[in-house]
Formats: sequence, C-alpha cells, structure tokens
Amino acid sequence: MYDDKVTILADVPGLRGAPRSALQQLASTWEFKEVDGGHLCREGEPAETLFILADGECDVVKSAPNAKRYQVARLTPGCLFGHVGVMTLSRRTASVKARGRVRVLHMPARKARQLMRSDDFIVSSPFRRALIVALSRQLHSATSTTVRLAVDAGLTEPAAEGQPRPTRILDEKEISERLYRARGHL
Amino acid sequence: MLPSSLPVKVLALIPSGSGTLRRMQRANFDAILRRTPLLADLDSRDRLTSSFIPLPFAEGEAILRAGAPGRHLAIVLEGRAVVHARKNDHAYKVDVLGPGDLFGEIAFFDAGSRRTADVIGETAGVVALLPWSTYAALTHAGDPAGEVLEKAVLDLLSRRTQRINDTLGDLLEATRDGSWLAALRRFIGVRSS
Repeated sequence: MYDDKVTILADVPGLRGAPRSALQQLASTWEFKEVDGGHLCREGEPAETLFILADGECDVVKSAPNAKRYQVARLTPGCLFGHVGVMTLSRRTASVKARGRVRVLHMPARKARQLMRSDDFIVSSPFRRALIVALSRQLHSATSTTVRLAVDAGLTEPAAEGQPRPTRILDEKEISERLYRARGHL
Repeated sequence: MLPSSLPVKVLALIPSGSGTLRRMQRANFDAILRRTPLLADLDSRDRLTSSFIPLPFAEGEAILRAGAPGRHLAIVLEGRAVVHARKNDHAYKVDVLGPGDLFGEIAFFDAGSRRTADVIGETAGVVALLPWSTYAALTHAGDPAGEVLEKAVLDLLSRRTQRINDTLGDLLEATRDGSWLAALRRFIGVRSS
C-alpha cells in the first residue's frame, strides 16, 4: 500500500522526477479513500480536504442560479484537486463527483497548508511544486476559455498567427454557460 | 563605471569585457532582479539570483513556443511580451507580460510538461532565465532560496486565481442585467493594455 502511494504520487504533475526518498516521505501525509459514484466535494462547502485522484474518473460540475449544472472538466488519475479552496481559504467553487468506483488520496486542508509553509524542504518543496503546476494549469484554462468567448463575441481579434475566425452571434445562455465553464476550472 | 540605472537591455547586450566590467554588469543585473516582487524576499547574497541568465528579445521574436521542451523559469525585466494560447488551430492572445511578470513555470516545475503557450516579444526587451538544474541543485542541498522562490510563486498564483475568479463572478452577474459585453470588454482591455 505504501509503495502504491509512492507510485501514484510519482505520476502527479510537479512530482514527476522527484527523488524517491522525497515521495516516500510525502506518501506518509496522504490517506486512501474509496468512493462509488458519490461526491468527493460539493460546491459552496468549506474546503477542508485536498485530493489526488488515484484510480477512476471524476466529473467537475458547476451549478448556475437557474439550477442548471455544467460539467466543466473531467479528472483522470494523477490529478490534484480541491487545492484552490485549500490555498485561498475559500469555499468550493465546484463539485467533484466520482464516475463509478474511484480511489483517491486525501489530506486535511490544515495539514496541507502547514506542509505548504513548512521549511522541511525534502517534503515541502515537491509538494509546493505540485500545487504551483496545478494552479497554473487551471489559470491557463480559465483565462483561455474566457478569451475565446471574447473572440467569438467579436470583442477582440484572434492572435495574428491564427486562422481568421468568424464572429458568431452568441445568446446569453451560451455566454453564461461558457463563463460557468471558465469559472469551474478554478 | 557603469551607473546603477543602466538599463538591463544594455547590460545584456554588452559583450564580455574585463573581469571588473563583467562583475559590475552582473551586480547591476542582480540588483534589478532583486527588485522584482518574486525575488524581493531573498537574502542579498543568495545563490539563486546570481544563477539567472539575461536574454534579450526583439519585437516579434518568439521567446517560448508551445509544445517545445524547456526547463527555464522566466521573469520579464524590460519590455513587453504577449502570451498566445492555441486551441483548434487558432491562437488567442491571453495575456500581456511586463517587467516583474513570471512565465514558463509549468514546464519548469513539472518534468513531464512541455511549454503550454507561445510567448512573443511585443516590444524589444530582456528576460531573466533560471535554469532548472541550478534551482534543483540548490533545493537538493537545502538552500532556503528555492523555498523562498516556491512560496513567492505560490502566493502570486493564489492571488491571480482569486482575482480571475472574482472577475468571472462579476462577468456572470453582468449576464443577468445584460451588461456582460461591457464587462467582458473590460476584462479583455485589462489583459491587452
């Protein structure tokens, strides 16, 4: 089981290439949990746990005020998730639901914040790298989604190197949907 | 004698001269680097700052290309560069970087990633590049500079995430009263200015 954790951690972006000794120490800070089709976290709740998906797939879902729910991303093994709420001390910005049986590694938010600030560099340095990569990728996705919406709405031109992209007439439903998708990335 | 206000661009372009000149150029470059918010908390004699390499770029020149390998962390010191993301054969200008701004962090911190966007000079300028090998060696040796850098990058990304999350929240609010187009224009204007 211990080696299993190390194998899972070794595939997390930001931890790839980390020394095995560091991964072994980091492994001791995570626990396994299995969920069959249920929610791992719900939008609006306090962010009390950090997760890594070990096996299976999860959907990230965001709700709109009209009760419509948008699937904004699909998580695959190796994904670190739940970190935005943990790092920014905010509530969950989206829900994460297991697609069938999944296995995750989880860590309490308080412990994650301690580890993030720790000067025990052997463990904390790779952990901070994983958080940096996860945050940066999400920012990139959220910004790109919003900029593509602005291009489609005719507010700005695509970058010069791209093929000309015709402006489309967007209705407010589609605009809302795409903004929810962008925000769900965070 | 080189004045301390000598632009970095000039420093980066000065050919190697005497040992004294090289040391003075380096000291000036390091002083400019330390003024960037990301490195402001480092000790004045840290070994990380002195490992950055100056790289001049021209207007229209690609500093990074999406899909390319590369393990340097980059900070803009002078000039402006645009970030182009690609999707379905289209390129989108998603950000404009200026002095003090960081880029290239995904491929730098993740051994399995390639560059995620094109970064192209909007004007001529200079970036400072940190090679992964230097950072890795310092971190492995327990040098606190690596930790200071990681924490500064995390703080920066957390603040940026909160800001974009708030902006997207405002945009969604604006879809209810029909003012979304103006709100989205403001979002694009801020990122393009």
